[in-house]
Order: sequence, then structure tokens, then C-alpha cells
Amino acid sequence: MACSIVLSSPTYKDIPAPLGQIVAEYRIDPGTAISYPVTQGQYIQIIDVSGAQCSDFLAFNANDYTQEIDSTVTRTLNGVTNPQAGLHSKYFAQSMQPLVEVIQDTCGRHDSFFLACTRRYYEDAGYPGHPSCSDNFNQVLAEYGLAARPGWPAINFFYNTQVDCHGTILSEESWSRPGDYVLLQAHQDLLCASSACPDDIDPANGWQPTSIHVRIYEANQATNKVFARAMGQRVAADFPLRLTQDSAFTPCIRKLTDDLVDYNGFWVPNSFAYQGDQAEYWALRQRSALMDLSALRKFEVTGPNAFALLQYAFSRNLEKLTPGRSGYGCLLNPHGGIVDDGIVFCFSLTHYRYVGNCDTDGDWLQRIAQRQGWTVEIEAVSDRIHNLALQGPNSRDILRPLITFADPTITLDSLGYFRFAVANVRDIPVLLSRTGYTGELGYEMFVHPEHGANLWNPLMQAGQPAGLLPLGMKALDRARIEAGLLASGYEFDDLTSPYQSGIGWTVSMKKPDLMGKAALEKIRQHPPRVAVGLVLESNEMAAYGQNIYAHGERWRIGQITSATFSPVLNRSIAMAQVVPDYAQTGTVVDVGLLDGIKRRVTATVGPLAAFDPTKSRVRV
Amino acid sequence: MNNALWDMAGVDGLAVAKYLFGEEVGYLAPFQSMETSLGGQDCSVLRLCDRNFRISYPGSLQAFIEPLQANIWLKQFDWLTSMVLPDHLFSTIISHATVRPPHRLKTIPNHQAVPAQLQGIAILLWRHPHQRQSSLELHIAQKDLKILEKVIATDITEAVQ
Repeated sequence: MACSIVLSSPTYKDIPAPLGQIVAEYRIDPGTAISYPVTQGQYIQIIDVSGAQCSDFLAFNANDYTQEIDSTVTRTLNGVTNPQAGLHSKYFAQSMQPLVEVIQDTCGRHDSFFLACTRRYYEDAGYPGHPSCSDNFNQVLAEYGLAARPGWPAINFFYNTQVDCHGTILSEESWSRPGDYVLLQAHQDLLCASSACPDDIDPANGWQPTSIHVRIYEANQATNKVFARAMGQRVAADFPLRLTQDSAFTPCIRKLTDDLVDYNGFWVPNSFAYQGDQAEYWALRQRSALMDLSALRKFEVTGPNAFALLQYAFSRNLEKLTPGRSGYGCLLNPHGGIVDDGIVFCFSLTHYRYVGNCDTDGDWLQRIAQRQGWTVEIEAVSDRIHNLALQGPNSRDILRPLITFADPTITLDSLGYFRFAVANVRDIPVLLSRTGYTGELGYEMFVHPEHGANLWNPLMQAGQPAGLLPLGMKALDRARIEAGLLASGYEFDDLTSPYQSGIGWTVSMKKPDLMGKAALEKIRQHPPRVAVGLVLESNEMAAYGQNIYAHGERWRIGQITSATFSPVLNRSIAMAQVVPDYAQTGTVVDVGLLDGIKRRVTATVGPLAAFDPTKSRVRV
Repeated sequence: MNNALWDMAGVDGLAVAKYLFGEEVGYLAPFQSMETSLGGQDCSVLRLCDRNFRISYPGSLQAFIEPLQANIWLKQFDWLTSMVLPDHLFSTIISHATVRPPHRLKTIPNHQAVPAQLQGIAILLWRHPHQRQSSLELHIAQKDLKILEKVIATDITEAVQ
């Protein structure tokens, strides 16, 4: 018996609770496959019961079995190896019509390159007669008149494959954990087939095939809630799975664009309808722009040793950070690598706020405090504090009539760079900070999520006469590269020192004790590479990871970390990390485009910020 | 009379567009357009991608481009044609059309284009002034022109009436 069908309430205790009203439920025994009908609009949840178990999936148009999922069509139309919840979420048939759409995915690693496992695979490995997903599919599809195939081009959920830099398709044990699932929505009436892969001769299923569970949920939205689109993200072994979430401002943003992507666990706009990144970029540089930066992570650091902890863990000298001031720097690890970059806000000597990029920042600070025996409370408050940034030369003028400060001696015009204050925008309480990520005069407003729309809408209305536009990630990336501002994963990671990534100026070596100080002393003397800006002698754009060569030579001196075409400079620019001998301003180097051999473009070394390197615009 | 459609693209596509039409063209995002003049004649410039432009122009652009020695191509596609409709058909056209995400159809502003489908026929729907009048310009494959004309003559025009 390959499966059991349950049409009533669920009895399975080994899988997560149902997401909604179930209309059919199947337990696929290890090494077997099933076929099942799904009607348009219904949801299919494929659950890995025990973890590390692959489940190959087929879907056919129920009225025309010649229309089945085609991985090549799907990859081509989406531009990604596997569809993900969001804009590029659909699996297409050869007709280019969608058959199913990914609504949720808690694993994030699947295969669309390989066939469902075949008899031939096992025969070639010395296992003649070994069951295979393809043969199992042949059996369960025969009753529908579908001819047997030696191998079925399935979507292999939970199968961990990737294409390496040599073009080899690598496979390893599945990333999925017990209870991980993919939730699909049927776009047509379908005949589906799912397997619990029988492969026990390699690591694909962790050497031990186990069960797969399939639930079909009601399509009727009157009886079933709308399932939110989400991708699962795990940031550390001891952190819970995190699903992509809306910020307080996302409902307003969704009215203006359908181009949203998962960024750091939040749905953020790439660009806005009828605008596009160039229009948004120019609004930022010439007028003003409004952007949702709620994906930043916030931590309250309080207690008698709050200062001691941050003075030790954070690169800047916080002695100068009086209440109402903030400072940019980075959290360090013992070998001088950057754990994260961020801003510390000082409320008092016993109360600071750290705003960075990672959920694990708070955990890192907590570990340091424990090791040092310090009394500090670190509270993750990202769910209580979302933030908007109003940036651009007109931002102050837009904000001025809307804002009142709790301290009547403070005015918007007197609020200096990296200063913050409690204020109200209209009647919405915010923490107003004169900071940003754009290289322009600007402000960030930290607000409770319940006030999201009430903050977004008045700002948009107030800015409209001045040409304010909402700004997406594409335009923001262009602006931050021009301004020489770092991005995690591009300019730094925990193997990169502040001296290499271009923020050595944030490291206070005068502090008597600083995380990684001994290592940083050595790195500072002889950094393996240093960050520079490049201006290319071509209109072609460079890209992350491309190599940089000594001019006219074959040997490398560094790599591109970020690149864009700068509209304001009308030049192709890049941020790069090169060996120190080639970091002098004015040095001519070659950037290897394409394969690094076919085309070399000359570039000139300059400041990391190609645009406004003296930061005059943010200080105005 | 419709202007000719000229397509221009390449590494120096933006640089040439700026040379021809001024810095303003660099402010356009893909599928945004501007009205300008070239050689004393009205001209509409539509940005299709970072370095791809389509120009609606009554004369030849060849003479403007050749001296530049730029790394671009300039073409007139014999498989592409256009149709200009009065702007009052706009709401009816979009009510019959579909788009693929993230494109949207409702409230398409002036100086904006959207790739769409009208009863299964692929079109580029471009809202911009034509001969200084608000209009809707449709770019379609030459082979689909007659079918589209029929669709518009029946479904669209009748719907308006």
C-alpha cells in the first residue's frame, strides 16, 4: 500500500498542524509514489516528515496531459533556478501557462535539473532492480493512460543540487528538516504525482528513505484563509525558522508595486510601477525619496554594563557618544572580522540601541556579556520597531511642517548628522534619526508597526508636490554604491576586517580593550586588501566577484565587490578590494569582464565613494 | 501618418541617446518615454532597457548616428509595426488587455509603455502624445497587424460605441 487517504480531521502527530481546511490528505510510504487530483485554486502542501527526504513532483493539466511542468520553460520565464514565493513563483507548462505556484517554502533548496531518479541510475551504480521514482511514477500514472518513460522530468522537492563554477551539478544530502514543506497553489485543474524517493545509495535522502505527507487545502477563501506568500529562512542552528513577513509599510507599498522580493526576511519593493529604478534614483538625488528599511534588526541594550559591552564589542569609541547621538561602526569577532555593521544609538549610559542586519547580532552580544560576566539585557525589538527613511535634498523641507519634537529646544534644522530625538510626525510618535544609506541628506523614522500606514501616507502626500517618489531596492543599491556604503555579503563578512572593507576609520584602537584588538593591530599594519572605488573607462558594468588585474598584466590584484552605472556621474563605477600596492588614488588597473580574458576594461582607482566622497550632501 | 520606429541598443546605447536627445533621457526608467525634437522634427523616445531605446521619428536617424562611431546598432525592424489610436480608446483597450506581473495596466500615466496582450496578441502599449495630441500607440508584430485591426474594429470600437 503506497499511501493512506484521510478526508477528515488530521491524526498525524509527526508533522506540523494543518495550515487550513484540508480536503484530502496522503501519507506516501518510503520508496513509493502516488497520483492525486487537484482542482484549480486548491493548495498542495508537500511535507518532509522526518527531514532530508526528497519528494519528486509531477503536474499535468487535467484536461490535457501533454501539458506538464517544464523545468526549462520555468527557469527561462523566471530567471531563477527554482521558483520562489513572490514574483518568480510559478512552474510553467510548455505552453508557458502556469500550472502551480509556490506560495510558501520552508526549505529553499530543490532541484529542477535532474530527472526523478531512474532505473538506469541504480543499474549503473550496481543496483539492478532497485526501485526508482520514475518507475513508481510509471505505475501510478498508467491508469490515466500516460505512457511509461525511462525517466520523468520532475520537480525534485527537497533534493539538494547546485551548479558549481565549473558547470558540474553537485548533489548532497537534503537541507530539509522534519516538517519542512512546500505549499503550492494549483493554477489549473491538475493531475499530480508525488514520490517519497527510494534512493538509499547516496546521501540525497540521508541514506535512509522516509515518508512524505501531502495535504490538499480548500480553494474557497470563504472557508480557508489566504495563505501568505513566504520563504523560510534559517539564520542559525538554534534560531527558529523565519518566514518572510510584511513590514508595517508593506500594505501601502503593495498598492504601488507588484515587484517585491524577499530581503532579509521581509517583503521589500525592487521598484515601483510606472517609475523604475532610474526615476526613483533621480528623485532621491534631486528631490526626495521614501523607503522602507524595516528589514534592519533592532536590539535594545540595557543595564549597568551596557556601555562596557558595546565599548568592547563595537568598533567605535562610545565615550564620545552622548545621549541623542549615534555612531556607525561594526561588531567584531576575535580575529578582527566583521560580524555585522550597524549604528549604535545612545539613550543613556545604561541604554543603547543597536541597529544592524542580522537576527544573530543580539545573540552575539549576549554571549560576549555572559563571557565577560557583565549585567546587560539584550532585547530583540525588531517586531516592535519598523523604520522608514526619507532621504534626498528636499527631505528636510518635507518633514519640517510635519514634525514636532518632544524636547521643544530641538528643531529639525538644528538636528545634526548622526543625532536623533523623540518626535511626532503629525500625531505619530517616532524616533527621528538623521541617518541614512543613500549619501543624501535624510532622516530615518523608527515607529511602532501599528502606525505604519499613518506614517507612510502623510509623508507621501506631503512629498508629492516636491516630487517625492517611493524608492525600491534597485535604486537604493545604485545610490549606496555611489556613496561607497557597504553591503553585508558583498563588502564584508565575518572573514573580512574593517580595514579591508573600507571602514577602518570606525575602529578605535585607543580603546583599552576591544574585541579582536590583537588581530586588528596586525591587520591594520598589513591588510591583505583594501577597499577602493573604481571608475571604468567603458559604459559596460562590472559585477560582483570579477577579477581586477595589474594594468597590462595577467596576475590579479583584487576583486569587484559591488558595481553599477552611476547616472549622476554618467560613468560605470565599482567598489573593489585590491592589494595595498594598487590602492593609491589614480592607479590604473584592468577589470576583467566576462571570463576575465575576452574583455579587459581599464579603470582608475579613486575613493570608495565615487559620488560626494567628502559627504558634503549628508552634512548639509 | 505614423512615424517610423527606430530601435537602438548596445554598450553605448545610453551615451548615444544622451548625445542625441539630451541628459533628460538618462532620467527615464525602462518603459518611460519623453517627447523631444531632433533636427527640427518632433521625436518620441522610449527607453526599453538600460541601454535600449525605441525612437518614433519621421526621418532617418542614420545620419545622426554614423559620425559617432559608437558601440551600438540602429535598426528598423521589418517585422515590427505600430498603430496609433485616439486616447479615448484607452480605457476600453486596457479593459480588454492583460499584462504579466509586475506590470500593471490600470492608470498607465502619459509617457509610459507596458508590454501587454490583447486577446492573445502581444502588444507594446505606449501612452504618449502623437502629433501633440494625447494618444495610444500600439507596437505589434507585422504579422499580427490585420488581426489586431480586426479586434480593434470589432471588440474595441463597438465597446466604445
